[in-house]
Amino acid sequence: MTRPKVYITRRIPERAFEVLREHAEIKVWDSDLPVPREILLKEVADADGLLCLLTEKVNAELLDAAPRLKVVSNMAVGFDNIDVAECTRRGIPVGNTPGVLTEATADLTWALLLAAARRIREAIDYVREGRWITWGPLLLLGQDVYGATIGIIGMGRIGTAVARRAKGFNMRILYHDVRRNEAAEAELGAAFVDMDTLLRESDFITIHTDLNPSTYRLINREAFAKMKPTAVLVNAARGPIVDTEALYEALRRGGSSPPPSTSRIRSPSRRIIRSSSCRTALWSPTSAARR
Amino acid sequence: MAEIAALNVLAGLRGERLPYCVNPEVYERAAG
Repeated sequence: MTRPKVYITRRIPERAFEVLREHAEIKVWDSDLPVPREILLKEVADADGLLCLLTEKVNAELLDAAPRLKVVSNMAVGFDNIDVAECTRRGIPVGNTPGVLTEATADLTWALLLAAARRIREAIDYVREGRWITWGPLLLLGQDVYGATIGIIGMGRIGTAVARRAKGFNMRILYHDVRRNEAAEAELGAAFVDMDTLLRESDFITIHTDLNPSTYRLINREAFAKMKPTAVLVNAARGPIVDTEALYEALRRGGSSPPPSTSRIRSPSRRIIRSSSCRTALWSPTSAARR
Repeated sequence: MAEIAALNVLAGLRGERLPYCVNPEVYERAAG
């Protein structure tokens, strides 16, 4: 009997290979970089299953090139890289991996939040550059996290996990979402507020919403203008939720106060990364993964 | 994470319901 064929678009942990190898003939793009589109389109020609990542666009073009495809499995919680409606129309189920990154993403969010608040990256650079001679009362002053106000955009699993950690810092917890999360309100004392209130009153803003037409560039010029000049912004969701140009302007506006900081802007331009006026910004790759 | 993705693939190959499916309506369409 012919074994089904599965194409895997990236090197993944061995255990997952073992699971598949017992039942299918597998082929993998054995690299840490995304498979080029033209190769992907060729490789899926005889594939019965596709295990892909966010970097692969699964659309009508790919589905046309994969006439035998019975399943698409995205190794991610989000699936904005997949035309789900088109897969459904063709009778192809689409899988994802929800929940597994909740705590890892919340940890990374907090790592970035604390690093921005206490200016860790600047401090490390300061020492590495040999500029540290002695302590000074004004040296690399950060801002307090304990007892501050956190505004969480998207109070799903990850937002709630971030809020749990915030409770340990005795923070006032505000959140905004398309629907109320009464369980989080009861457990954590989180307050549901409108977006304007969240932007105006939060010392730290973290983003955990999915990317869809209503959240695309949700954090734009108007949103930055409403934030406190000392606000720290951590985007732990998809990059396009933050308008990169508006972020750049907000960072340049900095002045004497630390400008808003953010993370995980997908493919931020080199101009922004290298800009000396953006020294307080932290850029992190998508790294909250688990085996 | 990768293991869950692999289990989704296996279920799809067998024609079973995916453990984590984002378009469960695909099964309703098939049944209808």
